[in-house]
Amino acid sequence: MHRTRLAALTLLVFIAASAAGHRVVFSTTNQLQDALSDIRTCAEQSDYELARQKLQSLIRVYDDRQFALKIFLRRDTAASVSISLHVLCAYANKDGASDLLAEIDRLNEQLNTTEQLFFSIL
Amino acid sequence: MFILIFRTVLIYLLTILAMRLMGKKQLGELQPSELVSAIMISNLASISIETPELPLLPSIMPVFMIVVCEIFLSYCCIRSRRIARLVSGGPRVVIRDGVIDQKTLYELRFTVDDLIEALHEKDVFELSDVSFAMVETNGSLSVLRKFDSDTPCNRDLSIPAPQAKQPSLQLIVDGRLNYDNMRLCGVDEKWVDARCHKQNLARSDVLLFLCNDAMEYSIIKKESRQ
Repeated sequence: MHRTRLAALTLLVFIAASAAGHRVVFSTTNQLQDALSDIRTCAEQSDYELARQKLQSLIRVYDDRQFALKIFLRRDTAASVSISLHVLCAYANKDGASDLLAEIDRLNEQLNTTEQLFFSIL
Repeated sequence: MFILIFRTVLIYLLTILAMRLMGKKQLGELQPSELVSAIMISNLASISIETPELPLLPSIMPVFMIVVCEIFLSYCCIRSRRIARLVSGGPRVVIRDGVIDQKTLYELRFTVDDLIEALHEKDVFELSDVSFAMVETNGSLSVLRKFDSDTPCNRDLSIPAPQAKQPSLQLIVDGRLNYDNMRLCGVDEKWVDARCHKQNLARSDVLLFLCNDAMEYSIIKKESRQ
């Protein structure tokens, strides 16, 4: 019976860890996607300075979250999002406008895929 | 992460179902769920080791989920005969009153060669010596010999019972006293040392000192290492 209680406790701990992971990944991807949408709007309106500022703010937010994300996601997945965000900064100007929009779409798709892999059953 | 728990449980149950479908032949000495646990834990643990980019928590969690499932399943099996039957199945009689139950053998997908081999492993070389034989839930064969060919026991030969009721315990191992065993035998250090001195031995010269509850003892001396 001692083992059964231990097993029940272990299960509760895993459920709590899963809930925490669920919250961290879901909130981070949602926040990133919302911010990317704003940046896309700025780029479409040719306000590249604002887009750059939002990007840098987003990078700071993501860097803070990355440690927690790496507990639940593959390290290369978490790192590739960070790399993509830094790449976006390089395109936040008039000459790189089309590249910026393409990279934003690519990053959005990457975040959708990360969500699908993390939350899907099959 | 909930999905990880759900997938682990789902794959665990599906694997047990697969083992049950495979039948008793493939199981060896383990119950179906135990075999599944052993296989899955080893595979999952190796994945955790082989994939360093995978975070530790999600990679090690399935291993412990298997353990949790195994504990809960064994608890449910204790509580419910029906569940135990569902998970492990039941023993099947393959030889009854010396006659092979061919229908059961066919259902279990046991060939006659498998049956003969299993009987040989139980030191039975004549089919006519067998009264009952059944295949257990772990795939092993249990055999009851006929009275005429069975080994007589001490009661049959009217051999008187020895004084000792318990097996010999180790009082000294490699020169060190085992106080728990001494307590069980009802002896103390002085008694042990006295027995050693009788054979001109110090405690440190003794490799093994065995004693039972009837105070019958034997001492094995350490050999010289030169």
